[in-house]
Amino acid sequence: MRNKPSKILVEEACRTSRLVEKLRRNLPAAQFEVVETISDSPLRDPRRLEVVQFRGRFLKSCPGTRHYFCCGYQILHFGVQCSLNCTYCILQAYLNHPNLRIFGNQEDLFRELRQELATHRERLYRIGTGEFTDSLLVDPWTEFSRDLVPFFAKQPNAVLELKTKTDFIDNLRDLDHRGHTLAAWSLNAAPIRRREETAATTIKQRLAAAKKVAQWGYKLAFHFDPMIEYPGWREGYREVLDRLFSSVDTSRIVWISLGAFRFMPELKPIIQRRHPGSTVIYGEFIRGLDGKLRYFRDIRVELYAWMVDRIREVDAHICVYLCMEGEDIWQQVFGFSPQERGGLPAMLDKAVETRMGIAPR
Amino acid sequence: MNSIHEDLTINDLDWQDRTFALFALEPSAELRTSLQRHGILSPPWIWQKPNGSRVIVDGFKRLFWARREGLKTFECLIFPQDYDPARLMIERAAVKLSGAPLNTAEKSQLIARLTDHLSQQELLRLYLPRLGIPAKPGAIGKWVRLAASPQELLTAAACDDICERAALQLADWEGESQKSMVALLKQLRCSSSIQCEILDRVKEIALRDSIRKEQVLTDPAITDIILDETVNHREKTQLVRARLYRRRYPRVAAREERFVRDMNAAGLPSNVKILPPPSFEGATWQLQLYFQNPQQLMEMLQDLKHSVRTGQFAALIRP
Ligand code: SF4
Repeated sequence: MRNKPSKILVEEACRTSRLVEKLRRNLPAAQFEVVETISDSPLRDPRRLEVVQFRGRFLKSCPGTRHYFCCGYQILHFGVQCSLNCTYCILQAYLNHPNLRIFGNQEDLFRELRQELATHRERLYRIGTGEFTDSLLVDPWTEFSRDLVPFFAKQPNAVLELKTKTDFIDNLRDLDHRGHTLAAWSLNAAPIRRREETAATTIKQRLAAAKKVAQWGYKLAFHFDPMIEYPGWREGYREVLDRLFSSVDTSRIVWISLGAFRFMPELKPIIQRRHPGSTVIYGEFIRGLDGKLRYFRDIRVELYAWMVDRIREVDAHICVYLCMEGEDIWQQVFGFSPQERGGLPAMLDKAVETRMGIAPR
Repeated sequence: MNSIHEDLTINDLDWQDRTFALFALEPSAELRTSLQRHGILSPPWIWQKPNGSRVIVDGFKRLFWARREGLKTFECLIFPQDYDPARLMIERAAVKLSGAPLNTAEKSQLIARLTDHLSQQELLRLYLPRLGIPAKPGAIGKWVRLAASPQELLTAAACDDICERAALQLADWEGESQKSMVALLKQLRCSSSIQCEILDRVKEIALRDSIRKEQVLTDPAITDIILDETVNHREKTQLVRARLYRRRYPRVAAREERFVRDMNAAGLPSNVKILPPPSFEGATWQLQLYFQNPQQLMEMLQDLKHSVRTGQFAALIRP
């Protein structure tokens, strides 16, 4: 299996954790080392997996800004970094801990989660794990999904989204998910996948995995994020949409998000240094209201409107949303603003209710 | 064994040996005047090599002047053959660092020479700060590459025709592209920030379009600007920048041009200005009014109300 860690560095506090126990069982050939604390180091090693005691809050709000509409998603912070090494990845900016790091004190994570969900029973929580790492990249060895999915199955007011670029889905088979877990894939045009996501699975593999989990009763989501403008982007994205819709039944798709590539200016020299062959940063980027570089608005509108039209041709009711865009772009792409529909979080809650049949009591 | 003062004849020197030479321009006007008036005041350093030849360590400009002037002998400081050349280079660096500020080319060659004798850490910690260079990882490599660059680039950097940042970037450009850019920047004589902007634009256009950088520079539109004898170097700079901007950001530029056209067509009075959001991002536009008294303001507001009602404004701010 690709991306298999072979060096496991464990903080003393996590030595006897269930997570480490599972890692020892699933990675018998790996070299384990226990240290008091794992200090930051800029040395990148894709085979290394660090298990640390996390002392912050596990549940965080999606880092939206006031300038653009945010989906109101909650991030379940179970680890950081990713060894898939996509050229555009924001995680490259975390220079001081470049290696995969998973939090060993998962009991604390579940405690916090249980408490939070119980405190606001009236509210629907859409929670995802794929913000600071890939949701399933180390799942074959951590088996985290085997705890997480059944946990969410029992939460009346929460759904879990596992977002990945892998096909590491085996742990999801036979889990009692009760329709509370969405398996989600980031998709991109095949030329972008080949050039910029070299270590991730192919689009074909992702869609085959999506098809399988759909057969296991999971709902699906897809994220075209980051969308990249390149010569021939229409054909590229058309092809992936065609493949998507011929692989899965659209009624199983709860939402599709679209997000044009945007990045912190500090990431540009990092990408130039780490991926000199990548040209993703040379589009027509302007400084957005949040300080990030993003495509000039007309380009974003063109990308989104084109995608929305293609998706609507196949399923007019699927929830399609824009990640971190403003009123003017929504108006131009959809002809309405999320505010007219109660806000973007409410639109997504509605999609959960309609397509997953879940709503807080 | 230490150095000794001695008189040497000019012809005793090995003029071909450049072991200790740094890139140097002609002596400055001040140095030339001083040499003419007082001759060589501080004795050059010479190393007596184990093979017997005598190599200039420090004082190249003075000695070249002396040779040109036909001087036969000069007083110098001789370092004996068992003197460690590494130590000599480091001592020469110390002298250089305490003297007049070094030009970019000299800095690069000093760093390159010192890399043979000092560790990266020593260089970063002790020397780069004294040269006014931020001690960042990777800095030494960049300077060493500049030191090894062709004469055109080094001369342009030494004369400040090309700023330090641009010179360091250009050191990594391939032959023809580097040559074309050096020639362009020498013509434009623009500020450092504009030099770097031009470099970035050319580089990014080339990378985006998968073409060589010199293809961007030999774009007929750029060539025409350069050859145009009716415009001065400042105007040329602006024209080159505008051309590169339009090529790098065609749609943003087109939108800006459309806005200017729409503004002109709207025929708003000169004391009313509409400003789009920066880069047309977001939906917040600005209106600026210039007035002298309440009465004038009132009249302007009435006119504006009319313009808004008739859709003139909507046309201006349409996406
Ligand atoms: S899969 Fe996601 S988290 Fe991993 S490198 Fe790619 S963009 Fe980053």
